[in-house]
Amino acid sequence: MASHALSTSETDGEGEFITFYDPQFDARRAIEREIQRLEERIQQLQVQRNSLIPISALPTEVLTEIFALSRRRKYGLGTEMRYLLPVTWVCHHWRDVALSCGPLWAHIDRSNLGWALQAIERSNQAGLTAWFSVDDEEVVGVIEMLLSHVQVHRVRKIGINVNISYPFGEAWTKPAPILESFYASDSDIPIHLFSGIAPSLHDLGLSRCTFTPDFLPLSRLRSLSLSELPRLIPLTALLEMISAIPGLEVLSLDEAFESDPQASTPQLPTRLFLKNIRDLHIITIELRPAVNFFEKVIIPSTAQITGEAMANGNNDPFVELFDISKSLKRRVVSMGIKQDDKKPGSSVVIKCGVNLPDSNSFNYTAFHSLSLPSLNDLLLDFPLDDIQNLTIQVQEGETHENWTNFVTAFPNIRTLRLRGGPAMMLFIDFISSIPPESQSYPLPHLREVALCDANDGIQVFSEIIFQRFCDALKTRCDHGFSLMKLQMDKAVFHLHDWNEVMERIVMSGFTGVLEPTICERVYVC
Amino acid sequence: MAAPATQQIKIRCNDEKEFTVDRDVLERSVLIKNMLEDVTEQQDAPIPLPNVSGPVMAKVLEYCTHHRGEPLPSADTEQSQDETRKRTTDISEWDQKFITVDQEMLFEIILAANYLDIKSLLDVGCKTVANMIKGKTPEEIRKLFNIVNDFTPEEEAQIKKENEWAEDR
Repeated sequence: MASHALSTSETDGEGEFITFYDPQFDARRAIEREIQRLEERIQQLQVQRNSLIPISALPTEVLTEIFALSRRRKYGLGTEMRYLLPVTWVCHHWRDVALSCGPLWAHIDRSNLGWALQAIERSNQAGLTAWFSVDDEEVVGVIEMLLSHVQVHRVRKIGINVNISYPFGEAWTKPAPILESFYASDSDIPIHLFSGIAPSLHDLGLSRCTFTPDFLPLSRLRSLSLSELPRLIPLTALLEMISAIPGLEVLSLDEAFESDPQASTPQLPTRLFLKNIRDLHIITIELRPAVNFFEKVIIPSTAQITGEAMANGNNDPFVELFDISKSLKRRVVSMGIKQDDKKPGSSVVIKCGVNLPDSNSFNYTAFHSLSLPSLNDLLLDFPLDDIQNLTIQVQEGETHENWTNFVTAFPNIRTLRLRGGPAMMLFIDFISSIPPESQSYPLPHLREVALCDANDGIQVFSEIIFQRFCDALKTRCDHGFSLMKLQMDKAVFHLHDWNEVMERIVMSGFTGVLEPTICERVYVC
Repeated sequence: MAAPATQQIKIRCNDEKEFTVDRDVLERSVLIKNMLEDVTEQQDAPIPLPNVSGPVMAKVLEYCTHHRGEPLPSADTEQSQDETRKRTTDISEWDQKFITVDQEMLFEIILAANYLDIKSLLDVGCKTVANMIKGKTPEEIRKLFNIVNDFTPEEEAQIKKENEWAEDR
């Protein structure tokens, strides 16, 4: 026999309850229970159905990886935590997978500052990564709240880009045992940061910051980046700092150091061997500090090196660049002149290493000019075909064969500038060695030759030698050797007077423009 | 003197489909590489791959052939990529074309890459799915993958709450 339940209803205002008999109550309850059962069943079936779609075949760890990747920004680097939320609202399985993976949530960025605490709860004690841009007091409040909530000991990576005044307060003085990366900008780094205890710190970046190197936990660093420091570090102090980081692999110094003051010339006993460096990036305001840096360090041949400096107007930038390459004692991929749209003048760019990616940050122009201190110093792996202007210091004892082999490796030279005593003789020998009626000249594009400091006032060319030169030149010019300009600077000829030089050359049939333009020390014998 | 011929290896998929492939191509798979290293004598019997079907294996081999000779990513590389925050969801042009397949095949490729331990292929697959998800609403994601909403009304209410704290702040 079916039981008939009593139904209860409330009266209006009296607070009195009356009970009456409802013959449909049980039937309704039964239907409701059935609906509930069916709803539960439908939900079970929906879960079951979802488990049979292709994407559900992916194992949990693969799905987690996909969720982690889905946090990445659409363009560029970094994370957008807001991309992660929708995956937790798709279905039970996705939600369970996402919420059971603490590290997925252990990330604070500008897109989840508002729900940072919830993210921290979901992170389930995983080490935190946080990137803050301190633009206003609200962000300062969030940082302080987070640090008081999780404390710095749970932070694995932190970056703080300060656009307003932000003093590193009490929360930052606690030890940071799992901190691996620390980046800060526009800040005064206090000496008590992390109480100096950050044994896992291997990645440090300070931009436009003041700091005291002695108090930074540097010893375990693998990567150090210092940029636009308000107080440039003297080179020796920098090298001492680096020498205390034995495992350093990546070093970026962008307007971070200066040459030592001349008055105090502290010297490291030997060159510092940066044995683990694989990536070195140096930008200096002037070239000289970079040259000094490379003079004082030894870098493994496998390291990638990039650098940039403003060319100093007083020095030949190519010679200074070569000083760097000589100091490096290794191959240099390219050197060039950077034309900067934002700054007047030009900068010198140097790249060493293999498979360097093209940089989009500046207009890199092909390297057309090269200046070398000697023939033996061709360590450079330039695209030689690009070189149109070659300046070379010719040393005593160079043989004609060496020189010819060397110079003909640059097939597109238009201008050849030779410095030093043997230059004239080598050039004469070079010209003379070309078969007079040859149809193909070794340097078919050569149009200008400058012989500078050709004998430095010591060696005197005899009239016979000069005559030989003029004759050789004439013969080749008659057969298509189209030299257009010959410039001789500070050359000393054993000739009767300078007019005779002019006359001789003209008489030799040289049809180009003769420009003894800088004849400072013409000797008339 | 002619260069020594590359060793050819036979594999057999779960649908009995067999492939004969250059060893260096197959060694993109760490699983197969380890298997081959464990076998001291040359065997003529095909290597059974019970978790991969013929059509999927054909795609996997297309990938491996294209990327043959490239250095295999090490655990260190992965770690350093992550550490320097350089890991993006960019996919190379060829890989993008290669992975433009229907969803079923896409997930089969991911599963095969996971089983065969081909990290770079797994990465391409995961990035592809991540790019499909990124920026979409839950409903759009459901529609994309043919997922039904299996939350109860109570759970939906909870999720709605989350939605509020995530979006209103």
